[in-house]
Amino acid sequence: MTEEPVLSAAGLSKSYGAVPAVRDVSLELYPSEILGVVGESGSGKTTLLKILAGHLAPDSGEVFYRAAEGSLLSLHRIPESRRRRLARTELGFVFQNPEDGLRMKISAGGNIAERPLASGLRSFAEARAAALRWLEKVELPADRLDDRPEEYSGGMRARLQLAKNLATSPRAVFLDEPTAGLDVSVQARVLDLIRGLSAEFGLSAVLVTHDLMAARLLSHRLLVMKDGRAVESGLTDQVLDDPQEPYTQLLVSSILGEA
Amino acid sequence: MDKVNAADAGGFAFLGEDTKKRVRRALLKAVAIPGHQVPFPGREMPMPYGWGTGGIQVTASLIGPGDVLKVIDQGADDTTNAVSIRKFFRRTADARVTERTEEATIIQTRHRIPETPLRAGQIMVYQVPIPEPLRFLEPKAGENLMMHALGEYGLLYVKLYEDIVRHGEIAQSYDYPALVNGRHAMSPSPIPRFDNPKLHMSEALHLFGAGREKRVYAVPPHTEVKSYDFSDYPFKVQEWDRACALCGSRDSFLDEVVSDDLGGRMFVCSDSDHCRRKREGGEA
Repeated sequence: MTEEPVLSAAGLSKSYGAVPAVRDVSLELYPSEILGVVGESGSGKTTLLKILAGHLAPDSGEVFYRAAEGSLLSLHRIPESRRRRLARTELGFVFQNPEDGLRMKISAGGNIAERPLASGLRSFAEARAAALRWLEKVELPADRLDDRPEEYSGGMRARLQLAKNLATSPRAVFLDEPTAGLDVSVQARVLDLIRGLSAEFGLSAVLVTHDLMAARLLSHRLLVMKDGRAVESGLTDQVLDDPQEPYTQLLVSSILGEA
Repeated sequence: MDKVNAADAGGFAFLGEDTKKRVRRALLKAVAIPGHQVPFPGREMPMPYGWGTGGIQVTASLIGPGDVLKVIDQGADDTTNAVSIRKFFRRTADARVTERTEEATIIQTRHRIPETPLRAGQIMVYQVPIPEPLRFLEPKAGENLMMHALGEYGLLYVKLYEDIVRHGEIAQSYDYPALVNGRHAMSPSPIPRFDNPKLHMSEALHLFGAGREKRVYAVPPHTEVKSYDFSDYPFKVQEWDRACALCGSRDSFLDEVVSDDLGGRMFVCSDSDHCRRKREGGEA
């Protein structure tokens, strides 16, 4: 990994009133890398993800993003118009609840076409072709293209949300518990899909999850969070097989069916 | 508030001078930023929302002794809403009224732009139910404001996409969104898309008043108004494969009218002034 990172963060902190959510977290995300962020509920994972994605401003610290055109941008200092443009083109955000990331009353095709259309695509035929292409990429049946997400199952919504985000070929994707609420067999298929897509498109992603199996399956490197701090980080296998911190040891030993 | 309402009750054209001044100030801002929605201090009017309270307040703020008022509803001068709004301004402002488009200085309308071309100096006043073109797609009002501020109008294409998927064509037949002056997306009230091209580079001033939502917006004369479309589904106005049953006009907007209780029906001009003159003189 001698390349420059796509995304880097230095000294991020964020409190909600008196409650600290993220304390002095720094990290780097390299091209074609999936960085897993694990920790229990309330450890600050989602807050960290929102800050990294530019959705939430940190109290202190900075997030740097290497834009497609080459310049290094401080994500929270650029104008909001630029940040929002990046958010619908070069960045992607997969919400824990697909309902938050999809327009439930717009057809699946319309959902997928939204980002290309917002980026200047003005041909219906091309928008539709792109929608169909991405629907198939996430292994959804082509005949469901015109159905609304409210008619989709939970697993299908999770796939659709991936397709919607990938339709502009983002350089970095933020995944917030992408398999939460799905039953185990569907989880496995969605994880498999994410792994396949990331390999195919060289996707860089930050994956927040409390599921260590998902983290092991998908991420190259791992960041362990506790009470808003990054307590341990390293290569995934290293962290999970030989945890150094007592908290990480506890986390690893609490996986059902292992140990 | 009570004081203002009390002062309003007996004023010329119903509203008090202070209120009219504030509405006019909002209108000036609206004219200065074509297509941009400007809040105004809407008053309770002696009629329910949905009956044109926004348009009436705009007209009341503009009308003077020298003005000639025309009011149309569904294109016609003789419909209930049009008759009662005309009566309202005759009573409160002693207004001169007309049914002839070219005689009017102010034309208040609900659904149509007259077929007779508008000229410089005329003011169109629209009664608008829903001023926000993005609401169908993004219900959060704060997000709507942000999208307007940043000119993020990609979502309007999602609406067109949905239309084509569901109906095989862009089915939105009225309130068809347009980009004004290359900057602000606007909902042209409930006029049919047939009338959208009449807004483009119009000689007249077009003012839109939404009473329930207390917002005004404007298309000044000679302003570019471009209806949204796809390169492979270009904007088209409605067409009819027949002529008006009364005047024989082939280029006007037609309404289907039930003519008896035996299932008889016919297509006639929605613009009653245009239709009558075509029948009387052959010249519109």
